[in-house]
Amino acid sequence: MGALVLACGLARIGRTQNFTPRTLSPFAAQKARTLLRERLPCLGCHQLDGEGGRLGPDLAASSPAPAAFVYAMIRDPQRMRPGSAMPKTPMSPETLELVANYLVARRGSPAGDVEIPRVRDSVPRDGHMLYLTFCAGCHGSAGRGDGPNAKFLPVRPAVHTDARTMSQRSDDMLFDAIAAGGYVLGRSNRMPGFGATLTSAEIRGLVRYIRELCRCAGLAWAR
Amino acid sequence: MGAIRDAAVFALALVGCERERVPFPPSQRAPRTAEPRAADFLGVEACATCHAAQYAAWRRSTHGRAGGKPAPGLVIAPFNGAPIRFADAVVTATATGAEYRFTVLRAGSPPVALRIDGVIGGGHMMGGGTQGFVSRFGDGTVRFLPFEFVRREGGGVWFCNTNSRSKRGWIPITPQVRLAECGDWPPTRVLGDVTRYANCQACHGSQIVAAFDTTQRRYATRFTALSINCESCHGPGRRHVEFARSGELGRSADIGMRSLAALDKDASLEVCFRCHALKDVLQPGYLPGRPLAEYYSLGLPQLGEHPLFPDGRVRTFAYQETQRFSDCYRNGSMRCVDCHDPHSQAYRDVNGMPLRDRFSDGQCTSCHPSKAEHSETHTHHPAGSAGSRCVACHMPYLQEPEVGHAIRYARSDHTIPIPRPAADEAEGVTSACRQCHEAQTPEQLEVQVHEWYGSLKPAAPPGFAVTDFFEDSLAPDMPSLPADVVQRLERLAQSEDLDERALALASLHLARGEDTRVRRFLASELGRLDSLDDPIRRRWSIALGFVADRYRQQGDPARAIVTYRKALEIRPNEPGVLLNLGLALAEAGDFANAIETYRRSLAADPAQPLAHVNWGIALESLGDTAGGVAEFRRALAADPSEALAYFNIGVVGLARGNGREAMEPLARAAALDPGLAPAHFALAQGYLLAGDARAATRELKLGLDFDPGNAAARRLLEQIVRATGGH
Repeated sequence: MGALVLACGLARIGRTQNFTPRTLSPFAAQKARTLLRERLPCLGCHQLDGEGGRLGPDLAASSPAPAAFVYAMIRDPQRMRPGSAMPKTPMSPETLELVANYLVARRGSPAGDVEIPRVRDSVPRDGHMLYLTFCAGCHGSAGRGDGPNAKFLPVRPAVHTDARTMSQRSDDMLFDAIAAGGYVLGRSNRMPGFGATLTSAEIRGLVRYIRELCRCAGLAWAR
Repeated sequence: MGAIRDAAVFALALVGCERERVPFPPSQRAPRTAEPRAADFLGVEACATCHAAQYAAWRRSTHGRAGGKPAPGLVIAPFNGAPIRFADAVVTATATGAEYRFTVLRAGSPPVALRIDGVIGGGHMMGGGTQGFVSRFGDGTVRFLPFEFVRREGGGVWFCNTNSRSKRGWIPITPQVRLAECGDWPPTRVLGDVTRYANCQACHGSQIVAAFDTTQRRYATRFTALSINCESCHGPGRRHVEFARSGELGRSADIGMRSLAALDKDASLEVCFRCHALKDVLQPGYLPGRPLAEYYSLGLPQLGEHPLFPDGRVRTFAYQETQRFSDCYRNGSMRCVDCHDPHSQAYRDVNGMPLRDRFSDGQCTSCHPSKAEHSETHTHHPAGSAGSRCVACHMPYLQEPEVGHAIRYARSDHTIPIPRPAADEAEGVTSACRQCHEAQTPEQLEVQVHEWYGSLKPAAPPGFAVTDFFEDSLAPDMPSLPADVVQRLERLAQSEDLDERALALASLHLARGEDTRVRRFLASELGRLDSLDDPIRRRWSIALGFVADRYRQQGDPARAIVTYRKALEIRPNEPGVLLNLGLALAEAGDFANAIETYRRSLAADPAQPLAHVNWGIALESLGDTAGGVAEFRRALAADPSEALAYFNIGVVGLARGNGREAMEPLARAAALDPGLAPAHFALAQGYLLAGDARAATRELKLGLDFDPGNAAARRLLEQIVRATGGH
């Protein structure tokens, strides 16, 4: 029990993020770019070489932020920028390192460490608030699939007010899509997963809110 | 008005012209993909220097330990000289230094020593890990030996596969088992895609290619390793290593190798399905890096054998390709490498994070986190219990049915189904529930499932509709097909699935290929195949060949001939189809045309001693015995190991009443293929002519080992025993 308390306490302390970039080969850079375009959700909100969303900054735009900041934002954006709408995307250490190096090179990020802020106590947020923060940019504030970012996406975001379509998805399917993202469910990789960012209760709150938007119940199975 | 009538007459005349048979356009066959070549593969040591971590992980993996030369670290079977006792033989497995061998002793026969040149498998698989052995033979082939070993608690047991003989599945070798019950005795299952020997042995090693060398008059069998090496997945390493040595790697996006991590779902699966799938060989000679679809079909094995149930689960025997039937693949993005680390074969989640083992829920919950939220609510089993694991219910270990039940060989169900106890049992599959709850009936379990989950997600529509329709509902040149059926087939002929597309085209061709409208459609489709011309035509031809073969088996050579000719419309110079057409013509009594067809087959591929043998048989049937013998000798000139050529020369000698002339070729036939029962029976006749009842008895017994149902041979044996008093 003591060890657990100690671990929790350590997690709440701020620390320094180091990252020493390495130069990628053209092959590795191409691989990183392919992963960004076709596998990871980053271009849902960010653009890269003219492709992708406009909610976040251009990934290739030069920035004075140090390389360690880029790394830390990919690794855990909520920790680096508490309150950010950018979710944490789980990925292997190799992928994290590859993508960070690629973006650091594209942005011309200077060397240097960054301080990671202390963890703050989270504030309970209801489904509506979460929806406006994380979903409305693409799905629209009223759930009509017409958020300001929608036109920059290769496929139209789900229309959550569409009762006919939404009633064909069970609550657990909605939960999985929100938590794990679009790619693993055979949908667009531009839809990020929020499972490492939101609590289960918050995701359930979002599911309930989507049901309010569609005024429909989901399929009975997949419980 | 008159003009209109004239136009109508003109139109009618046009229709009349169109009743002429629509020709099919010739193949737009592109030159066969020649890259990469065998010399482009360098082996694992070329990779190890730069990729030490991946190499180290691979070295410990099941791929890295999949096989090799016999050595103490690799061989799990006991080569300790202890006898492996059959009813009619004793086999000893011994190791002297680096040399491992089996010695087969049978009463009345000299000992047979089989040197082991390769070990296949290391008993790694949890559901039943086996190890087999191969040996190089004089004809250049590398063949599986019949004695295999399976790990069991407290050791293991020698076993053999009897499915091609007594059909008892895989059984432990005991003093009640006859040697000839083992399908691999004498050894005939060769490494490589040699179409004459139905097998899937191109995957029990790396870059295995076996081909008949017409110059050397023997097979050439080449492979890089008997483990599954880096290049099995990554493709040939030569260019990549050249780039590395010249310092080019850091300067170009082309590194002589593609990134597998960035492949999309189907391209990634194709890498694994090179081995982890049942396949029909479209053409031999596949090497990693060549287009898989040009060499293999994953769909055509379903014709006839039906290895999979309509829901994709294993009906007879299969590998892990049943993943294609899972909801995770069909409606998701699941690739093999989402759970299996390709270097270590350890388990990981969809985000690449390592998992503890094959039972880890993270394999599923990284895509379905809703089920991890309150796991007991979903599983209805206590958290942490064996029954609460995702794979316990959705990927149960199922015994491969073709193996039988004497040897455990279970593989986890990669169709990842929802347990449906009643439907599962009706299909003949032990439901996941009953894997643990054996005492409960399927009906009780079904009630429980519905009590917990209410209505279940409807099962996906059954697969293989076009395969079953092609196989069961059609005949050559039917008078009609319902219009909606034709329309559906025409739609399926546009499918992205090459097997489905080819089967739809073959269906229309088989049933309505002489109908002008259908024929025009087929001609149009053939004309726009472009880069798919060769892979579609091969599938189409094989499908028609399958139907024709079945007509021959049913004793209907007339319909077989029509169907083979349709196959030849699609691939006119396919030597195998020409050979089979010749056989059908001979069965119909048309020996002259049979001979002409064998001639065409040999013109297309001279490396076919069997075409010469059948040509000789046709000449004999026409009364030209000398010509027949000359053809048998041509078969031997092409392949000195062709047992059937010696056999037929011997039979001619016997027919002439010249036992002495017959004995030498018959003995060679039996020596080359000890499983050729007719050679033993013919030898018995020869010995009887020479008055050697004892030798005749021995040969009859040897023949009956492989053809126990041969009533004439059994009667003859009984007569000899009665006449000689058993001496």
